[in-house]
Amino acid sequence: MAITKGRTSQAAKTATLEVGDPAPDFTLTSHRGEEFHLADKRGTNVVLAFYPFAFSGV
Amino acid sequence: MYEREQERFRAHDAQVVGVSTDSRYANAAWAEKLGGISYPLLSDFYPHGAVAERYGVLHEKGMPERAIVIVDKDGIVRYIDVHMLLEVPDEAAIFEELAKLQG
Repeated sequence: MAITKGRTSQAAKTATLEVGDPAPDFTLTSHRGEEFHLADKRGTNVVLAFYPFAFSGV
Repeated sequence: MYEREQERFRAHDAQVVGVSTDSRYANAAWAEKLGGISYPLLSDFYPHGAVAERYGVLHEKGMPERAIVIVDKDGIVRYIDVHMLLEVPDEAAIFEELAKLQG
């Protein structure tokens, strides 16, 4: 199956989150070994792009 | 696809981060294969998928769904778009939303 681009989103909310909720804070390590702490990014819009696997396209 | 849009994201005061349950080393290898990725690819590796789970986007098979969550400058969720696994979210919709946030 091919990866397609589209706007047929399945949902505008998730099992735990809706628009308007505070984003759950987290700290994760990047591919370069740097820590990314969401709360440090106040003042910047952050686009979190969740994807299933490396090598699958992001 | 987000790599070539980096300037556009910056123009919207936005930073993109990728999140998967891959290890840091898998992400590093992938970034290298793509010729380098300037934005962070984050490893939600241990505890496995904990961040994806808190965001409600952990697939029952253990990997994250393809999903976009836009967090504004105050840390509030402004946009959620969950896609099927083999479908890439449309970046046009992302930029539409960021433009709204810029008011």
